Amino acid sequence: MLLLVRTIDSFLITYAALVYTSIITLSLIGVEALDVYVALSVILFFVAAELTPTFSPRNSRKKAILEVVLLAIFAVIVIERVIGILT
Amino acid sequence: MASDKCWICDSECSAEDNFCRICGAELTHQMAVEPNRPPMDRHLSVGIFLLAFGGITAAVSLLIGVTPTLALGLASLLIGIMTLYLPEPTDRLAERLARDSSVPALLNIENLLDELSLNEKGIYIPATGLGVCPKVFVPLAQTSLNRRPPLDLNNSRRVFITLDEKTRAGGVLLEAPGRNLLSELELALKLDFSKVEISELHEKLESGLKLLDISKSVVLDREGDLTFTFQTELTAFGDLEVNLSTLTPRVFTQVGTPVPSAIAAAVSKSTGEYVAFRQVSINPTDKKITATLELVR
Repeated sequence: MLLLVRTIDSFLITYAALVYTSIITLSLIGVEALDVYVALSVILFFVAAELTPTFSPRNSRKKAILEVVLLAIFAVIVIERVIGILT
Repeated sequence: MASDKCWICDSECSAEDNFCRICGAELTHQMAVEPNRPPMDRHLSVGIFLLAFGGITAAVSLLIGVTPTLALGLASLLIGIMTLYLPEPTDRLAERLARDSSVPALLNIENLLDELSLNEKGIYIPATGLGVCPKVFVPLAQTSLNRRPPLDLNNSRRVFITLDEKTRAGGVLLEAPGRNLLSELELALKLDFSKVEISELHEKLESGLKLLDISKSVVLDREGDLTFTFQTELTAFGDLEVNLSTLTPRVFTQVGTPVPSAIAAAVSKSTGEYVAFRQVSINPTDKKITATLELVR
Protein backbone atom coordinates (compact mmCIF):
# COMPACT_ATOMS: atom_id res chain seq x y z
CA MET A 1 0.00 0.00 0.00
CA LEU A 2 2.87 2.37 0.78
CA LEU A 3 4.17 1.64 -2.71
CA LEU A 4 0.86 2.91 -4.10
CA VAL A 5 1.13 6.13 -2.09
CA ARG A 6 4.61 6.67 -3.47
CA THR A 7 3.21 5.97 -6.95
CA ILE A 8 0.68 8.79 -6.53
CA ASP A 9 3.52 11.09 -5.51
CA SER A 10 5.71 9.91 -8.37
CA PHE A 11 2.81 10.43 -10.79
CA LEU A 12 2.28 13.99 -9.55
CA ILE A 13 6.01 14.77 -9.68
CA THR A 14 6.37 13.25 -13.17
CA TYR A 15 3.33 15.12 -14.45
CA ALA A 16 4.44 18.43 -12.90
CA ALA A 17 7.94 18.03 -14.37
CA LEU A 18 6.58 17.24 -17.84
CA VAL A 19 4.01 20.07 -17.81
CA TYR A 20 6.34 22.77 -16.48
CA THR A 21 9.10 21.70 -18.91
CA SER A 22 6.71 21.80 -21.85
CA ILE A 23 5.35 25.24 -20.84
CA ILE A 24 8.88 26.66 -20.58
CA THR A 25 9.83 25.08 -23.91
CA LEU A 26 6.70 26.34 -25.69
CA SER A 27 7.12 29.85 -24.27
CA LEU A 28 10.79 29.87 -25.44
CA ILE A 29 9.63 28.83 -28.93
CA GLY A 30 7.18 31.71 -28.80
CA VAL A 31 3.85 29.88 -28.82
CA GLU A 32 1.02 32.28 -27.91
CA ALA A 33 -2.06 30.08 -28.37
CA LEU A 34 -3.44 28.99 -25.00
CA ASP A 35 -5.16 25.91 -26.45
CA VAL A 36 -1.78 24.48 -27.46
CA TYR A 37 -0.60 24.64 -23.85
CA VAL A 38 -3.85 23.12 -22.57
CA ALA A 39 -3.91 20.35 -25.20
CA LEU A 40 -0.30 19.44 -24.46
CA SER A 41 -1.03 19.41 -20.70
CA VAL A 42 -3.88 16.95 -21.32
CA ILE A 43 -1.68 14.69 -23.47
CA LEU A 44 1.08 14.81 -20.85
CA PHE A 45 -1.43 13.71 -18.19
CA PHE A 46 -2.00 10.47 -20.09
CA VAL A 47 1.75 10.06 -20.67
CA ALA A 48 2.48 10.49 -16.96
CA ALA A 49 -0.35 8.10 -16.04
CA GLU A 50 1.12 5.48 -18.34
CA LEU A 51 4.64 5.99 -16.98
CA THR A 52 3.38 5.41 -13.41
CA PRO A 53 0.60 2.88 -13.98
CA THR A 54 0.05 1.39 -10.52
CA PHE A 55 -2.94 3.05 -8.93
CA SER A 56 -4.98 1.59 -6.09
CA PRO A 57 -8.64 0.76 -7.03
CA ARG A 58 -9.86 3.88 -5.20
CA ASN A 59 -7.32 6.09 -6.97
CA SER A 60 -8.06 4.42 -10.30
CA ARG A 61 -11.69 5.56 -10.03
CA LYS A 62 -10.57 9.11 -9.25
CA LYS A 63 -8.08 8.99 -12.13
CA ALA A 64 -10.81 7.78 -14.49
CA ILE A 65 -12.97 10.81 -13.58
CA LEU A 66 -10.02 13.14 -14.25
CA GLU A 67 -9.36 11.39 -17.55
CA VAL A 68 -12.94 11.93 -18.70
CA VAL A 69 -12.82 15.64 -17.76
CA LEU A 70 -9.46 16.19 -19.47
CA LEU A 71 -10.51 14.22 -22.53
CA ALA A 72 -13.63 16.41 -22.79
CA ILE A 73 -11.45 19.55 -22.64
CA PHE A 74 -9.16 18.08 -25.29
CA ALA A 75 -12.16 17.22 -27.50
CA VAL A 76 -13.50 20.79 -27.19
CA ILE A 77 -10.10 22.19 -28.27
CA VAL A 78 -9.85 19.81 -31.23
CA ILE A 79 -13.46 20.50 -32.35
CA GLU A 80 -12.84 24.25 -32.05
CA ARG A 81 -9.69 23.92 -34.20
CA VAL A 82 -11.48 21.78 -36.80
CA ILE A 83 -14.39 24.28 -36.97
CA GLY A 84 -11.79 27.07 -37.32
CA ILE A 85 -10.18 25.27 -40.26
CA LEU A 86 -13.49 24.47 -41.95
CA THR A 87 -14.95 27.99 -41.70
CA MET B 1 12.90 6.27 32.45
CA ALA B 2 9.41 7.51 31.66
CA SER B 3 6.60 6.12 33.82
CA ASP B 4 2.90 5.65 33.29
CA LYS B 5 -0.15 4.71 35.32
CA CYS B 6 -2.27 1.58 34.98
CA TRP B 7 -5.69 2.55 33.69
CA ILE B 8 -7.35 -0.03 35.96
CA CYS B 9 -5.58 -0.05 39.34
CA ASP B 10 -3.86 3.35 38.95
CA SER B 11 -0.49 1.97 40.06
CA GLU B 12 2.81 3.30 38.66
CA CYS B 13 4.09 1.31 35.68
CA SER B 14 7.21 1.50 33.59
CA ALA B 15 6.72 2.87 30.09
CA GLU B 16 8.41 -0.28 28.77
CA ASP B 17 5.91 -2.65 30.43
CA ASN B 18 3.07 -4.02 28.35
CA PHE B 19 1.16 -5.40 31.34
CA CYS B 20 0.58 -3.95 34.82
CA ARG B 21 2.83 -5.65 37.41
CA ILE B 22 0.10 -5.29 40.08
CA CYS B 23 -3.19 -6.25 38.39
CA GLY B 24 -1.92 -7.80 35.16
CA ALA B 25 -4.06 -5.57 32.94
CA GLU B 26 -2.80 -4.78 29.47
CA LEU B 27 -1.35 -1.28 29.48
CA THR B 28 -2.43 1.24 26.91
CA HIS B 29 0.49 3.68 26.72
CA GLN B 30 -0.34 4.56 23.16
CA MET B 31 -3.91 5.52 24.07
CA ALA B 32 -2.81 7.96 26.72
CA VAL B 33 -0.46 9.72 24.35
CA GLU B 34 -1.88 12.03 21.74
CA PRO B 35 -1.05 10.70 18.29
CA ASN B 36 1.95 12.46 16.83
CA ARG B 37 0.29 13.83 13.74
CA PRO B 38 1.78 16.51 11.58
CA PRO B 39 -0.18 19.75 11.79
CA MET B 40 -1.23 19.48 8.16
CA ASP B 41 -1.10 16.67 5.63
CA ARG B 42 1.78 17.13 3.16
CA HIS B 43 -0.50 16.79 0.13
CA LEU B 44 -2.93 19.30 1.58
CA SER B 45 -0.29 21.98 2.11
CA VAL B 46 1.30 21.44 -1.34
CA GLY B 47 -2.13 21.35 -2.99
CA ILE B 48 -3.30 24.56 -1.34
CA PHE B 49 -0.02 26.30 -2.27
CA LEU B 50 -0.35 25.22 -5.93
CA LEU B 51 -4.02 26.26 -6.05
CA ALA B 52 -3.23 29.71 -4.62
CA PHE B 53 -0.13 30.18 -6.79
CA GLY B 54 -1.91 28.95 -9.93
CA GLY B 55 -5.05 30.98 -9.30
CA ILE B 56 -3.18 34.25 -8.69
CA THR B 57 -0.77 33.70 -11.61
CA ALA B 58 -3.59 32.81 -14.01
CA ALA B 59 -5.72 35.78 -12.91
CA VAL B 60 -2.87 38.31 -13.21
CA SER B 61 -1.74 36.81 -16.57
CA LEU B 62 -5.29 36.99 -17.89
CA LEU B 63 -5.47 40.68 -16.94
CA ILE B 64 -2.16 41.61 -18.55
CA GLY B 65 -2.65 39.14 -21.44
CA VAL B 66 0.50 36.98 -21.20
CA THR B 67 -0.25 33.47 -22.47
CA PRO B 68 2.77 31.45 -21.20
CA THR B 69 2.29 32.60 -17.60
CA LEU B 70 -1.47 32.05 -17.96
CA ALA B 71 -0.67 28.46 -19.01
CA LEU B 72 1.75 28.16 -16.08
CA GLY B 73 -0.99 29.35 -13.71
CA LEU B 74 -3.59 26.98 -15.15
CA ALA B 75 -1.13 24.07 -15.03
CA SER B 76 -0.34 24.83 -11.37
CA LEU B 77 -4.08 25.02 -10.67
CA LEU B 78 -4.61 21.63 -12.32
CA ILE B 79 -1.69 19.99 -10.49
CA GLY B 80 -2.97 21.53 -7.22
CA ILE B 81 -6.41 20.01 -7.79
CA MET B 82 -4.80 16.62 -8.53
CA THR B 83 -2.62 16.85 -5.41
CA LEU B 84 -5.70 17.43 -3.28
CA TYR B 85 -7.98 15.00 -5.11
CA LEU B 86 -5.89 11.92 -5.93
CA PRO B 87 -4.00 10.88 -2.77
CA GLU B 88 -5.81 9.00 -0.05
CA PRO B 89 -5.51 10.68 3.38
CA THR B 90 -2.80 8.91 5.39
CA ASP B 91 -5.01 8.42 8.48
CA ARG B 92 -7.66 6.64 6.38
CA LEU B 93 -4.94 4.51 4.82
CA ALA B 94 -3.54 3.58 8.24
CA GLU B 95 -7.06 2.73 9.42
CA ARG B 96 -7.60 0.44 6.43
CA LEU B 97 -4.20 -1.20 6.92
CA ALA B 98 -5.01 -1.89 10.56
CA ARG B 99 -8.38 -3.38 9.61
CA ASP B 100 -6.92 -5.50 6.82
CA SER B 101 -4.23 -6.82 9.17
CA SER B 102 -6.91 -8.49 11.32
CA VAL B 103 -8.23 -10.59 8.42
CA PRO B 104 -5.42 -13.23 8.40
CA ALA B 105 -5.89 -13.82 12.15
CA LEU B 106 -9.59 -14.53 11.62
CA LEU B 107 -8.80 -16.69 8.59
CA ASN B 108 -6.59 -18.78 10.86
CA ILE B 109 -9.49 -19.25 13.29
CA GLU B 110 -11.76 -20.10 10.34
CA ASN B 111 -9.30 -22.76 9.16
CA LEU B 112 -8.98 -24.11 12.71
CA LEU B 113 -12.76 -24.45 13.09
CA ASP B 114 -12.97 -26.05 9.66
CA GLU B 115 -10.09 -28.46 10.26
CA LEU B 116 -11.53 -29.62 13.58
CA SER B 117 -15.08 -29.76 12.16
CA LEU B 118 -16.33 -27.60 14.99
CA ASN B 119 -19.94 -26.86 14.15
CA GLU B 120 -21.21 -25.79 17.56
CA LYS B 121 -21.77 -22.14 18.44
CA GLY B 122 -19.08 -20.42 20.49
CA ILE B 123 -20.00 -19.71 24.10
CA TYR B 124 -18.88 -16.45 25.69
CA ILE B 125 -17.73 -17.14 29.23
CA PRO B 126 -18.83 -14.28 31.52
CA ALA B 127 -15.99 -12.16 32.88
CA THR B 128 -15.68 -9.16 35.16
CA GLY B 129 -13.28 -6.24 35.31
CA LEU B 130 -12.60 -3.11 33.32
CA GLY B 131 -10.99 -3.97 29.97
CA VAL B 132 -11.38 -7.72 30.54
CA CYS B 133 -13.15 -9.52 27.71
CA PRO B 134 -14.89 -12.90 27.95
CA LYS B 135 -13.20 -15.72 26.08
CA VAL B 136 -15.10 -17.86 23.61
CA PHE B 137 -15.33 -21.60 24.10
CA VAL B 138 -16.26 -23.58 20.99
CA PRO B 139 -17.30 -27.07 22.12
CA LEU B 140 -16.59 -30.22 20.15
CA ALA B 141 -20.12 -31.42 20.88
CA GLN B 142 -23.13 -30.22 22.83
CA THR B 143 -23.02 -31.70 26.33
CA SER B 144 -24.23 -30.32 29.64
CA LEU B 145 -20.61 -29.75 30.68
CA ASN B 146 -19.70 -28.03 27.43
CA ARG B 147 -22.70 -25.71 27.57
CA ARG B 148 -21.40 -23.99 30.69
CA PRO B 149 -17.61 -24.31 30.79
CA PRO B 150 -15.82 -23.27 34.01
CA LEU B 151 -15.48 -19.50 34.55
CA ASP B 152 -11.76 -19.78 35.26
CA LEU B 153 -11.18 -20.63 31.59
CA ASN B 154 -11.14 -16.87 31.11
CA ASN B 155 -7.71 -16.91 32.76
CA SER B 156 -6.42 -19.82 30.72
CA ARG B 157 -3.94 -19.34 27.91
CA ARG B 158 -4.59 -22.79 26.45
CA VAL B 159 -6.38 -23.36 23.15
CA PHE B 160 -7.40 -27.02 23.28
CA ILE B 161 -9.41 -27.68 26.41
CA THR B 162 -10.49 -31.03 27.82
CA LEU B 163 -13.21 -30.59 30.42
CA ASP B 164 -13.69 -34.25 31.25
CA GLU B 165 -11.13 -36.99 30.60
CA LYS B 166 -13.72 -39.80 30.67
CA THR B 167 -16.23 -38.37 28.26
CA ARG B 168 -13.56 -36.42 26.32
CA ALA B 169 -15.80 -33.37 26.63
CA GLY B 170 -13.92 -30.31 25.53
CA GLY B 171 -13.38 -27.81 22.80
CA VAL B 172 -11.35 -24.88 21.64
CA LEU B 173 -10.84 -21.75 23.69
CA LEU B 174 -10.44 -18.57 21.66
CA GLU B 175 -9.90 -14.91 22.35
CA ALA B 176 -13.08 -13.11 21.32
CA PRO B 177 -12.55 -11.36 17.96
CA GLY B 178 -14.15 -8.28 19.54
CA ARG B 179 -11.81 -8.38 22.56
CA ASN B 180 -9.93 -5.16 21.89
CA LEU B 181 -13.01 -3.42 20.57
CA LEU B 182 -14.78 -4.14 23.86
CA SER B 183 -11.75 -2.83 25.77
CA GLU B 184 -11.81 0.33 23.62
CA LEU B 185 -15.53 0.74 24.34
CA GLU B 186 -14.99 0.37 28.08
CA LEU B 187 -12.02 2.72 27.94
CA ALA B 188 -13.98 5.31 25.96
CA LEU B 189 -16.99 5.10 28.30
CA LYS B 190 -14.80 4.65 31.40
CA LEU B 191 -17.01 1.85 32.66
CA ASP B 192 -16.91 -1.87 33.23
CA PHE B 193 -19.80 -3.56 31.39
CA SER B 194 -20.06 -6.17 34.16
CA LYS B 195 -21.27 -3.34 36.41
CA VAL B 196 -23.83 -2.08 33.90
CA GLU B 197 -27.45 -3.06 34.44
CA ILE B 198 -28.91 -4.88 31.47
CA SER B 199 -31.58 -2.16 31.19
CA GLU B 200 -28.81 0.42 30.65
CA LEU B 201 -26.70 -1.69 28.30
CA HIS B 202 -28.42 -0.58 25.11
CA GLU B 203 -27.83 3.09 25.88
CA LYS B 204 -24.19 2.52 26.89
CA LEU B 205 -23.42 0.38 23.84
CA GLU B 206 -25.03 2.89 21.49
CA SER B 207 -23.15 5.85 22.96
CA GLY B 208 -19.86 3.90 22.95
CA LEU B 209 -20.17 2.67 19.37
CA LYS B 210 -21.16 6.13 18.19
CA LEU B 211 -18.30 7.69 20.15
CA LEU B 212 -15.81 5.39 18.40
CA ASP B 213 -17.55 6.09 15.06
CA ILE B 214 -18.24 2.40 14.56
CA SER B 215 -21.98 2.48 14.03
CA LYS B 216 -24.76 4.94 13.34
CA SER B 217 -27.37 3.21 15.47
CA VAL B 218 -27.78 0.27 17.81
CA VAL B 219 -31.00 -1.55 18.71
CA LEU B 220 -30.79 -4.08 21.54
CA ASP B 221 -34.00 -5.82 22.60
CA ARG B 222 -34.60 -8.55 25.11
CA GLU B 223 -37.10 -11.15 23.97
CA GLY B 224 -38.13 -13.34 26.87
CA ASP B 225 -35.64 -14.41 29.50
CA LEU B 226 -33.00 -15.97 27.32
CA THR B 227 -32.89 -14.12 24.03
CA PHE B 228 -31.47 -10.79 22.93
CA THR B 229 -31.61 -9.37 19.45
CA PHE B 230 -29.43 -6.56 18.28
CA GLN B 231 -29.23 -4.59 15.09
CA THR B 232 -26.52 -2.09 14.28
CA GLU B 233 -25.78 -0.05 11.19
CA LEU B 234 -22.02 0.07 10.76
CA THR B 235 -19.89 2.94 9.54
CA ALA B 236 -16.16 2.31 10.14
CA PHE B 237 -16.15 -1.52 10.11
CA GLY B 238 -18.85 -1.97 7.44
CA ASP B 239 -16.66 -3.18 4.57
CA LEU B 240 -14.53 -5.34 6.87
CA GLU B 241 -17.58 -7.07 8.38
CA VAL B 242 -19.10 -7.71 4.94
CA ASN B 243 -15.79 -9.19 3.74
CA LEU B 244 -15.43 -11.33 6.84
CA SER B 245 -18.98 -12.67 6.50
CA THR B 246 -17.95 -14.22 3.16
CA LEU B 247 -14.25 -14.96 3.89
CA THR B 248 -14.82 -16.48 7.33
CA PRO B 249 -18.42 -17.77 7.44
CA ARG B 250 -17.79 -20.10 10.38
CA VAL B 251 -16.25 -17.34 12.48
CA PHE B 252 -19.06 -14.98 11.47
CA THR B 253 -21.87 -17.33 12.49
CA GLN B 254 -20.27 -19.36 15.31
CA VAL B 255 -17.92 -16.98 17.12
CA GLY B 256 -18.72 -13.52 15.78
CA THR B 257 -16.60 -11.03 13.89
CA PRO B 258 -15.25 -7.96 15.75
CA VAL B 259 -18.41 -5.86 16.17
CA PRO B 260 -20.96 -8.64 16.88
CA SER B 261 -18.35 -10.33 19.09
CA ALA B 262 -17.82 -7.15 21.13
CA ILE B 263 -21.60 -6.78 21.58
CA ALA B 264 -21.98 -10.44 22.58
CA ALA B 265 -19.12 -10.03 25.05
CA ALA B 266 -20.76 -6.90 26.48
CA VAL B 267 -24.08 -8.78 26.91
CA SER B 268 -22.23 -11.65 28.59
CA LYS B 269 -20.46 -9.27 30.99
CA SER B 270 -23.59 -7.26 31.76
CA THR B 271 -25.84 -10.28 32.39
CA GLY B 272 -23.09 -12.38 33.96
CA GLU B 273 -24.37 -15.26 31.80
CA TYR B 274 -22.92 -17.56 29.16
CA VAL B 275 -23.87 -16.17 25.74
CA ALA B 276 -23.93 -17.76 22.30
CA PHE B 277 -24.95 -16.57 18.85
CA ARG B 278 -28.16 -18.15 17.63
CA GLN B 279 -28.27 -16.33 14.32
CA VAL B 280 -26.29 -13.50 12.71
CA SER B 281 -26.54 -11.82 9.31
CA ILE B 282 -25.27 -8.72 7.57
CA ASN B 283 -26.82 -6.69 4.78
CA PRO B 284 -23.99 -5.75 2.38
CA THR B 285 -25.92 -2.75 1.05
CA ASP B 286 -26.53 -0.77 4.21
CA LYS B 287 -23.91 -2.62 6.35
CA LYS B 288 -26.56 -3.49 8.91
CA ILE B 289 -25.81 -6.42 11.22
CA THR B 290 -28.71 -8.29 12.78
CA ALA B 291 -28.01 -10.94 15.39
CA THR B 292 -29.83 -13.04 17.93
CA LEU B 293 -27.98 -13.90 21.13
CA GLU B 294 -28.98 -16.62 23.50
CA LEU B 295 -28.20 -16.85 27.19
CA VAL B 296 -26.95 -20.39 27.80
CA ARG B 297 -28.30 -21.87 31.02
